[in-house]
Amino acid sequence: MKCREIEQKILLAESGELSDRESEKLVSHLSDCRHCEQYRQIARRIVAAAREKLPDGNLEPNVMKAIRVAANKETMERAEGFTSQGVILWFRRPSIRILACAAALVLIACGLFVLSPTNGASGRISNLNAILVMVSEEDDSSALQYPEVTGSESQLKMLANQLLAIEGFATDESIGADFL
Amino acid sequence: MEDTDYKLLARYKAGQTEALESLVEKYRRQLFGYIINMRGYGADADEIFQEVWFRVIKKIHTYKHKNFLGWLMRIAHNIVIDKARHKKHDVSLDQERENQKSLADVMPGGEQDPAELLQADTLGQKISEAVAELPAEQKEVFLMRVKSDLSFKEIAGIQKVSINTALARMQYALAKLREDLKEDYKELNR
Repeated sequence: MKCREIEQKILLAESGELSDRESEKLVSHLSDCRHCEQYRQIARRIVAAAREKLPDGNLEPNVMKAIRVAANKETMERAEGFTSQGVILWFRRPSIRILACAAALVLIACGLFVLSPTNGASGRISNLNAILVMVSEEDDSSALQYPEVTGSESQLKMLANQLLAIEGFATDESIGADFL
Repeated sequence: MEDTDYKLLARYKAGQTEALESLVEKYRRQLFGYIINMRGYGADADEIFQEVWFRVIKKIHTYKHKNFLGWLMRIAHNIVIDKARHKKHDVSLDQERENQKSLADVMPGGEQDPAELLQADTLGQKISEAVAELPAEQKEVFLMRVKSDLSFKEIAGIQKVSINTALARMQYALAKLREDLKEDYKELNR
């Protein structure tokens, strides 16, 4: 092995990153190579001296205080659920997105159902009209003609009275049958 | 990741902020030692240290790595790089001198006369000066190895280079320091 490669293996061995097999080969080489063994000794001493002598520095007290304040603030925000990051992260969950889409579709469907013309007064009158036509066709004694559906309340009541009359029930006399 | 780091992070995420303070204290030497020796004895070392932890607090809930110290040092590396870029453009030399603390301000043993300390610890001063003169990439590899206890694999990942490149930088750094400290070799041998 070249000495440059050996130097790198020495550094890896010192940091604990050399495999057992490579370590054995290195030890074997160092026992025979004075130059590489000297390199290892010098490297160890420089690293040890630097580790001891290079300053660790003195941290200002207000730095720890600022970190503590930031951590407390983040903790409180997270607890209250008001952090934008928390909301965004929560909404990014696939299950939440699926639920949101389903809820939107349900709301749209309900809206369409409510606004559907068949549920309006005109729709109800058309349905009643259809019933009356069917009933009158079954009753040979009646030969009624029915006007166009206008959707008014009075027409609805008239149609209802006609149906009652066909079926032999008393009608509401306040509504005349003169629509024919 | 050590169980201790894992437990401290879990406790912090559960709302115990004192757990984060324990982490700050645990890695204070590795992190602040790296920052102060990378940036020199300037006032922004405190600011950088603080900024590292602000970013940790902000990102901790998305943190999924297995090596907390490696993640911490990666954040520090990014901030130090940014500061070095900005400082080139913004800070005048006069202001820089004003901001610089003396070696005595940051050496341990504050109750002693700083001048006496400096005289007594010439080797320490020489090592500090020699390291300060290393090219930035070599200095960073050296400091991350010596002060922050990172492996070469971790250092290579942070610097976004191959492990061979990280090792080569360390070799060059050691060669330079060996040359600068050759007169003090006897003291190094103790």
